[in-house]
Amino acid sequence: MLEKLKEAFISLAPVVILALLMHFLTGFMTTELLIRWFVGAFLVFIGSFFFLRGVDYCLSPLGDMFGSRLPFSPNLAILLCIALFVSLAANAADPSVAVLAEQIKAVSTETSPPPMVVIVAVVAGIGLAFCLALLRIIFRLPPALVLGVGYGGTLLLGLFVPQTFVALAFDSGGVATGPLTVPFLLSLGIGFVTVLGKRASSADNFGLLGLVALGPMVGVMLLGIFWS
Amino acid sequence: MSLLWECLDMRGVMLGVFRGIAPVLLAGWLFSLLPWNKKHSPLPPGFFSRILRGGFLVFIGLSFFLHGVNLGFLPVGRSLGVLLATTWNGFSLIPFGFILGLLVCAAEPTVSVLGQQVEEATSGAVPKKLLVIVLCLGVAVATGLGMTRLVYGWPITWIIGPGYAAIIILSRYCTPSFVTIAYDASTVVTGPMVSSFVVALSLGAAGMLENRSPLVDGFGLVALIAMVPILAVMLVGNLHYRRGHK
Repeated sequence: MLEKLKEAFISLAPVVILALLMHFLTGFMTTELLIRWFVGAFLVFIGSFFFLRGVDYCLSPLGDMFGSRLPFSPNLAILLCIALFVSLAANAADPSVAVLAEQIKAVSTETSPPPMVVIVAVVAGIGLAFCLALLRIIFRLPPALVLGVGYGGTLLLGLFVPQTFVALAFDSGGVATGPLTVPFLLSLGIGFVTVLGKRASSADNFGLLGLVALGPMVGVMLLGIFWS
Repeated sequence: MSLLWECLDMRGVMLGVFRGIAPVLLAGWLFSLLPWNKKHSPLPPGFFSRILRGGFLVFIGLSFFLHGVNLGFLPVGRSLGVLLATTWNGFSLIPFGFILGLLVCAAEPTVSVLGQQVEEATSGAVPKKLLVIVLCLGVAVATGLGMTRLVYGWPITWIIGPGYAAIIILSRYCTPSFVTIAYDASTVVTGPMVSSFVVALSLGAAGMLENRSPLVDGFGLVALIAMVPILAVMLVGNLHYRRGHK
């Protein structure tokens, strides 16, 4: 328990102190902003602590339950439908996705798509990419090849996307794989692989997150191509 | 007074978080009721009461976290971006980005987990410390580079393109297990701190700089930071390891 408290504190402290240092050098914060900074940092600290505990008690065992039982689905279509729904739900609940929506709201213009549309593209991307990642495990495609083709293909696709979407698209991959999505999908994937294969080649355990992170990128890129 | 009320009023955030979490928990419960799941190993007794209690922790945690981010991190990040964009014609963003990247990476708890993972995968040939140091410097350079790009208005593909090309070429020289560890590591540094504070700062700065659009130039830092662990694991983890074993 102290471990999590320490973890939450250490991940916050340097940036909180850096901003205060900048404030003492330049005085850029008004009193209101300074209060916001302290209250906000405190809430984030408490929140991360509770959340990290919750991941161990709730999200990881839940993900593991899904993962270790999904392989027993009667057929592939049902398996994929469940995997799609679960990964969509988990990603939609991710705080990083909520923060991304706020960020887009702050900068969106009249010509850019509404934040909710971008978020739908991001979440749909995670869900579909997760299904593809499971298919890769089921059909035993070499992960290195799939990842290489995936990243190369995404990069090429990026060349055809309007400028206003490119940076947002590449960013959304890193953002959407947030603190809720990662532990949940990871324990789901590990449970899935453990049941599926006694072959247990270590390379199969991983490559999941790398592939999932491509989903939102491609999702937002496609949105960009069709939006304009 | 309105600020105090804003600090205390968490109803909107809590409702949003509840709407997010509830379907996940409900799906878990419904899934366990499916006929073909009942035949297989039964869940340990009290499984769902534990999940529910854990879910409550997640609910409280996420509500506080998101409220704190909206209340403090986003506005302060934006203001800091505005300040930096107006200092030395925006060039202060570059050294500040470097320092910020260094701090964010050093503070990220999952970074040391990755270091541990690589140390184990190389049976100790690549010490955890080495990878962590390379990662922190790498993220610092990436953030500094991202800020440089923002100041000069370079398209993001100029950096992402060569970066991904290098990753794909490097992966041909890595053992398969290293390739997957490397790609998965891309999510390690881009945690909540980056996607809230760092992005807000960059968007705030992009809004202030002349001829820069937040949408085109303000985003992109996360993508650059996400590339660093992939490159670091492939270069340091794998190549260092292979050289030692030749």
